[in-house]
Amino acid sequence: MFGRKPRQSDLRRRFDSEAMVHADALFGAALRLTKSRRDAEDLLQDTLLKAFQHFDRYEPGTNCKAWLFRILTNTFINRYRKSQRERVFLLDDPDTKPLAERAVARELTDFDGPVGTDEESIARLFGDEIGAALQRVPVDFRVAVLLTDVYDFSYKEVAEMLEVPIGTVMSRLYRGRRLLRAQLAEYAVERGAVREIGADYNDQIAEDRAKTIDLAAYRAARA
Amino acid sequence: MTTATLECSSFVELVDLYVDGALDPSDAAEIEAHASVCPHCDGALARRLDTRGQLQALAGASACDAALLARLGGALDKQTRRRAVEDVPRYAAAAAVALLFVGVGGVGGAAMRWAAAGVSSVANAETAAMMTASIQDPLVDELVRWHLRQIPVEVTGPDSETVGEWFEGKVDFPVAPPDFDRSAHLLGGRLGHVEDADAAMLVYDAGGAKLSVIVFDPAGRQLPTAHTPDGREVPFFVARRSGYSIAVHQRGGIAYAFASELPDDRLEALVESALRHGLPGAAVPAH
Repeated sequence: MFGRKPRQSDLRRRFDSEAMVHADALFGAALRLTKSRRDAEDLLQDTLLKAFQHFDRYEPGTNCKAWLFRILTNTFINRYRKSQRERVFLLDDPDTKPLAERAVARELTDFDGPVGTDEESIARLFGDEIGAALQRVPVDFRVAVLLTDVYDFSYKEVAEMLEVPIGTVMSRLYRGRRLLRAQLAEYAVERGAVREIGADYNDQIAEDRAKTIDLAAYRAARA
Repeated sequence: MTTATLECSSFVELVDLYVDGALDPSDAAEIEAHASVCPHCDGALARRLDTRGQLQALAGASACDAALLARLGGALDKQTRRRAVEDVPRYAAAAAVALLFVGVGGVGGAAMRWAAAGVSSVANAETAAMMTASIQDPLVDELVRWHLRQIPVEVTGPDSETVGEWFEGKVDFPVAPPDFDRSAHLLGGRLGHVEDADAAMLVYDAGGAKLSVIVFDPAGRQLPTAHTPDGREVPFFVARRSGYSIAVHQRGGIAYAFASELPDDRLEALVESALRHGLPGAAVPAH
């Protein structure tokens, strides 16, 4: 622990070659997590600054991409939760809440708002139906789908990033995927590719109603 | 040969694990065998594979443009420099800082008072990167108190025009919430006062830290401007009180106090950004 501290310029060079190569992937994820380009840019910058701040503790040769995504998702989730809390303070029983809590209240942030946003409509307009559908999936499920299906992290890696059990990752993932497919089926109906909510969608609903799968228990039973 | 013994309900349970490659080979073979004889389940598998493929295509769909990369590089450069400075061994218990004041419109009594009150007499031009002074003026205490008060805003952001208009008729000077180039977002504002004069209190979120901007009429009080030790004139000065930094800028009869627990250099960058965008009553300084 009393080893010589690496020089900042050396750290920076290493950071550029090991971490900055993932900037595009991180930005893509930030765009899918937040609801505006501005927030995505801010999230990316905060993530990279945090990563650089702790880069002397990052072990070379370990999975840098997973480490960066962990910082990105945690930064996003913390901010998202904070915005949720703040909104609750503002609306919830102002007379009994301590002043200190209400003072930090704000009305709405870009994280809030109903599902089905301008960003989503714009995405669909440019043929990005999958991206638009993903925007409609609630945050916890969206994070699981994003990390697993888009960025190809394993259940275990995602579980470590989110600090939840593997079973939780799997159930969020499957729930997120179901919501996503249902949304895509709805788009298909809207654009007339499917004449009515037909077989695909009904299957989807049937699947949703199928008995709840406890994957953790399932896996334990198989082990 | 594998026989299709799987029920459709079991298929639904296993198909996601199959798509993820998480099934052992014998279970995977059962899934495939079932799909080959059951068009309904085959369709369900195809939908999953299709969705998965579309999602994977998203991974390469976004890239940082040149402007964003420049912004990120700049932010990292700044942090690299700051940390390099922090790594320099400290020879003195107190950092050597220097601040020289000149009055705005002639050296008035107030300016003299500010200057005489608490400017560090130690000047080390080599290490003094920021202009900081421990100014013993009650105004600084009052500004910090306002920053620390946790009271609800009366008008909410982030639209600075809406917030600015709300102050019309409530204070006798124009209020245009400063623009910090995305480094800080306007949360809202409320009325306040500084030494019995009405003031506009604006609250920003600067990367998670609270930033207060207190706009007030200094009412004849001559606030100082500052020079760095190398003689560069800066249009504001920074004072510190109980862990908080206050930057004050005055131009055209309106004073702007920026208060935050942010490090001095970040506060300084925010103030410079606000000045670059121009403030009512403030000439835009040449950069």
